[in-house]
Amino acid sequence: MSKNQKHKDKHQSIQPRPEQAAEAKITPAVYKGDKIFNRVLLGVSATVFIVLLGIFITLLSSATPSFEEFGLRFFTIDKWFARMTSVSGLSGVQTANNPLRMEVKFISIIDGASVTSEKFHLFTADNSSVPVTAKWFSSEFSNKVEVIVQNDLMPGVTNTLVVLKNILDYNHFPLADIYRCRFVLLQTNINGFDYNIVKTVSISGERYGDIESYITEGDQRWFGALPFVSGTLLTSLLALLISLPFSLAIAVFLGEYFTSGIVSDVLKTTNELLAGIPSIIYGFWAFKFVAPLVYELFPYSDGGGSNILTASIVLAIMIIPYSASLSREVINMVPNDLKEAAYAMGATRYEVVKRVIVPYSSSGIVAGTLLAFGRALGETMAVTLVIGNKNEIPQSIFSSGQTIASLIASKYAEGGRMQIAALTELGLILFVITLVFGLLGRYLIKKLSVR
Amino acid sequence: MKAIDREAKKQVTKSVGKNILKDRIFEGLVILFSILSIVPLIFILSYIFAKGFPKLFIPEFWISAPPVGQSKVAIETIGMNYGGIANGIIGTFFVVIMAAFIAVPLGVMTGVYLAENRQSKIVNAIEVAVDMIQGVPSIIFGIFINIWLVTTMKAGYSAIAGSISLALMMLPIVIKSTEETIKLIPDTLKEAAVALGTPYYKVILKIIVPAAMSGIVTGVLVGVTRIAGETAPLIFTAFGNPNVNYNVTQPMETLPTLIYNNARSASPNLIENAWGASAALVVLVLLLNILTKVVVNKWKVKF
Repeated sequence: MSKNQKHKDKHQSIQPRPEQAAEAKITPAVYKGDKIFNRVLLGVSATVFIVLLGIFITLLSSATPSFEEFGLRFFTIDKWFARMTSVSGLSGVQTANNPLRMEVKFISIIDGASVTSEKFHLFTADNSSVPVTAKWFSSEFSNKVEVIVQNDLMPGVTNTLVVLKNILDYNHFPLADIYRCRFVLLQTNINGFDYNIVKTVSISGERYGDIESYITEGDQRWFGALPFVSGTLLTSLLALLISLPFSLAIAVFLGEYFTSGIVSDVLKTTNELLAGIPSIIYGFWAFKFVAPLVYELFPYSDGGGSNILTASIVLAIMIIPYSASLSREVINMVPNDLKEAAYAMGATRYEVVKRVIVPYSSSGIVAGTLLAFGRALGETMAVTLVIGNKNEIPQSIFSSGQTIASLIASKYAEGGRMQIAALTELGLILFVITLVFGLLGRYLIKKLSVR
Repeated sequence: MKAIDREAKKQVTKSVGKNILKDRIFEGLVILFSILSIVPLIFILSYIFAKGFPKLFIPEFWISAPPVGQSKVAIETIGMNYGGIANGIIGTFFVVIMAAFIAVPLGVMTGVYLAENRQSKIVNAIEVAVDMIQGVPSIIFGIFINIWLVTTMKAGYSAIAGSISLALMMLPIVIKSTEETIKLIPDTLKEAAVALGTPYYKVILKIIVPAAMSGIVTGVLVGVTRIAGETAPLIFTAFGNPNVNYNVTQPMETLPTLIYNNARSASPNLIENAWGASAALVVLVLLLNILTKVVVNKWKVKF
């Protein structure tokens, strides 16, 4: 220790006065290697810049098909037609005068204006079968699926079967991507027999791997950003609203009330731990713990508790330590003189916080909030697991939704060409928004620290 | 006259009392909210450890991959292996180490350059870029690497792609800590070396970088802690793999993607494994945190 001290003293005794140090310009040695060394360092440093620029250009060029197709309309389209259901075990009930039995083993229905054809057999009472081809028209705009059944033995003999999709029964199970909906077969006339079917049939199916082959050109026109932009903004704003009292309280607690000591150490450590827990763990925990809790408290909420509110709560927990530490740093920057002057006037702590600390550090607190908001916008995994993954504009905070990041996470790996372009455009939007918030936050903090 | 005085005194005490009451309420609220903010941590840790901690003491859990196509009932009746998270642990190890090998040299060199040329305009631009990259959502890195490596170069999903995307996330952390530490080193140290006629690159490599080693190591540890738990950039790059895999050009599972994939499955056995994996990941992150603290405390820059 003493040796160290000595060493330090020696250094200080040699140290020139600050003015002298400023005058004496360090001229680098004239070795040839130095120039190359510096160039290499500059080149390496430029990678960061290149990466940032590269991300922007890559996203831009990759999203071009989407730009060309949708233009500005992208932001007003509220539909996303990649949802896919398949129907299995669709069977009708025969009426008394109807000897026909219809068995449809497996029919694919894509939500979206799509056409799928399927060959199957119609069975008569004596078990002889008639080969038929069925064409299915399904549209998200209407609540029915139209089926044209054509007799293969007698071309030209066609019948139309209308299948009503009961929209109210449309249930989406998050995560497993199993859709279940109820179809009511209404009425048809096949081979001259009236076919009155009033039975409801539960249909469930799983997602296919190869979407491209099922989506026709007509469908690809409908990818819009509106549900996801609104979902993202809603969850992030709600999370910010929930987190604000907590983060400000922690900042004041650590910056003014307990600046040092065991209590502040404990709080600091817990905050660091909260900040360090991976987001997937938050997501998994919330999926198994918070979502059921929310569902218990608000039984009318969508998706068994997987909804906007749950996602916001998790996001709030995740951004509290971040905005708290930023705000605390800002509060620590308030000069002691100002606070002491206020205390000398007989101000209470509340008044000091309200009249001195908050006005002085307001721009910094706003910057911290902005940065936290930017983080909430881009948070992916925790949100993906608990938001319910429903591609619709959320009607309330209790309805399932989708954020930009969660949509990308759940759909990017398996999308078709246009879908990937649309997803990349959404990514670009997210990228630009977070850049803007980051720049704004940086500017505000810089302004404060200069003061 | 006296009556007026008394009246004034009364008013003053009243307003002071009101102020003190407000102060008390505010203090109470601040303390209440601060303590409430600890509650989620307790919930998360207790829940995850309660669910996943027992798994950590089963040796098979560490050395075997998840079972493919076995139901829990079958496992219990036939007595087959419950499966483990070996694929995730090996993948995390490979991917994180590779990411660190990419990010550390780049980050340290950039940090040195930024700290050494503080006035130049290019450096200012790069500093802004570093700040911006730190704020970019992690999923964007996934898309970026997916577009270049997986789709355009047709390399397919691979552990290398995953580690490059993680390296991009780690880069700003290493740069920042290196830069901040080098800025703390007094100029006299450098001047002394320069006065002896040492070439500039030797000054950097032999004096500045060793002196800033603590900051660099801290930055690397913080970066590793951050990317060890990252999922979003990996799901389109390293993708995931139910088998133990040592080939880095093939898809690889990491602990976070294992949790993500298993959490979505319907099998109770896989979900239990996901709890075990969560507990393992939390333990890993906590250990890295402690290690970082130890390094910071033991190995501070003393100037």
